[in-house]
Amino acid sequence: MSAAPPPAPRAPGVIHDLGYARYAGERRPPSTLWRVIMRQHLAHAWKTRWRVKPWILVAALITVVAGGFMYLQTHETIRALEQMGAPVRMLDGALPLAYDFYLKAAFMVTMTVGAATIARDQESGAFTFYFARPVRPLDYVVGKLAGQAVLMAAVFAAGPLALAAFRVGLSASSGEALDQLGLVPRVLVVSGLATVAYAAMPLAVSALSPRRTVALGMWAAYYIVGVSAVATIGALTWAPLAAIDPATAVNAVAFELFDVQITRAVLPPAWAAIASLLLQAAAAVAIVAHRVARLAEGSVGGSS
Amino acid sequence: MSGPGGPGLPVGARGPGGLSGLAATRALAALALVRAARGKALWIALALALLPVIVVSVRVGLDHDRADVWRAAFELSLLTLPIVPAILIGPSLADELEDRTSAYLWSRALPRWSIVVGKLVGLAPVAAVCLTVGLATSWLVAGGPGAVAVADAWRGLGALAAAGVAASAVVAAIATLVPRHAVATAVVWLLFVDAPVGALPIALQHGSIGFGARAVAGFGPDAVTGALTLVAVTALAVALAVRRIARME
Repeated sequence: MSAAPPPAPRAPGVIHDLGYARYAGERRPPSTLWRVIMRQHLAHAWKTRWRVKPWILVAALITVVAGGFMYLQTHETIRALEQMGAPVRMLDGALPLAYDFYLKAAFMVTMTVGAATIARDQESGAFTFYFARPVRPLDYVVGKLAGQAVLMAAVFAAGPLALAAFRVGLSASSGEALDQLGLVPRVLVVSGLATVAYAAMPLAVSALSPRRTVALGMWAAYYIVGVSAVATIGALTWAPLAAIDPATAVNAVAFELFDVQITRAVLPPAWAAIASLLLQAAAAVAIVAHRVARLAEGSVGGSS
Repeated sequence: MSGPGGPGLPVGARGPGGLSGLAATRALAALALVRAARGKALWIALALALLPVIVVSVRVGLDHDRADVWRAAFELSLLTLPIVPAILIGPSLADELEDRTSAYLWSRALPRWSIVVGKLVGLAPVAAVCLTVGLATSWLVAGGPGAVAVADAWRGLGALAAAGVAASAVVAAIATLVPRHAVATAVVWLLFVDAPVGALPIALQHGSIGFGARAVAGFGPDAVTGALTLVAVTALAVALAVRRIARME
């Protein structure tokens, strides 16, 4: 009896598992992973009826009402009243004053989406799945921030830009229209600052708590009571301190850039408002990045 | 007749071999209290209720009129009203409904109304105590009996406690209506609907917790009307929550 022939050498890299199938889907470079997370964030926000849709509708209504005031100003009756000395100069005031209402719609979005986002992922154990894949904490942070910024821009930028364009369209002459084009960069500055601050800050609070409801409470506490208390102290002692309130800061920048004089309001100077919004946004991004990096370390190898 | 105890379980009836409504309420209240004591929300609520003390300290340092300081302390404490009950009662009830753990409670022989009432009996006093601790501290910082009369202070504290209970009932009603967004909706309702309506000089303000609290505290037109407002809002909200939970699948 002859000896059995030696087994044929196995081809390297072949997996002998009947259930295995090589991944045949799209392979993305790591630099695009944040876009996937951003799109998932936007899809989640848009999925149900109550997360973001009503507040975007509210922002659209604010735009329509403010535009209506602008249009009424061009009506001959109002013009006549204005010529008689009546204080009805709403044409140029409607846009900056509308920011106060956009801020309320934006706060609603932070309550239904922003302040719950990262806490929800912690609560559901989603980090294990995120970071078991080649997703870096940086991709997650950039994706969530970009997604939230898109939502905030829908509230802060779309309406004011439409109002600015409408104001240009209401101009009586081409010279006035050219002058009014200067509104666009001012809108971009105010809306950009507001978008960045209102996207980053609730996410930071969300990263601080593993429970969604606690994160929501903490954000509401910070936004409604915490900064209000400091702003009140600022109004009593040193006006720039009031800029810690993001809503007051956005209004202060808008009023300054659009040259609106509200005598009864104690507003911080524009420099303090801009500095406060940028610093709070930067601190918020740092908190999110730090917390997510730590959560990623703890999640890989854990169970959901 | 089927009452809010659930389908086929009349009000006040004892389930087959189960707890009476009162016993179930007591058990659920104790459980809610223990959970609150172990969670972070209680400490966040307490810290939040104490925030107005900072503003009061600054105003006292600036030697503002003590009556104005007391009024400001009360108004700032009212600002915490949308949040303190929302983070204490909202998750307790909404998580139960959203996570479907309420199904386990439905399977027990206890009346459904005891779930809402039990949570409220356990947590509404906690919310009221958190709020009043903040205001009482502000009163002491403002100068105590030497600055604001004890009777006025008691009135303010009582008004805030009653407002805390009323707000807790509203939060419970909202949690049964929209369990997924209970905290957000409750905060938005109390902040953007109840508070502005209460500050407006219109008849509708009589349905506002803020109006009721101010009136009872002596900052409004009529304390009796304010007290009636708070009682009516609380009763209406509890009735709504009980009715809603009784009809849930």
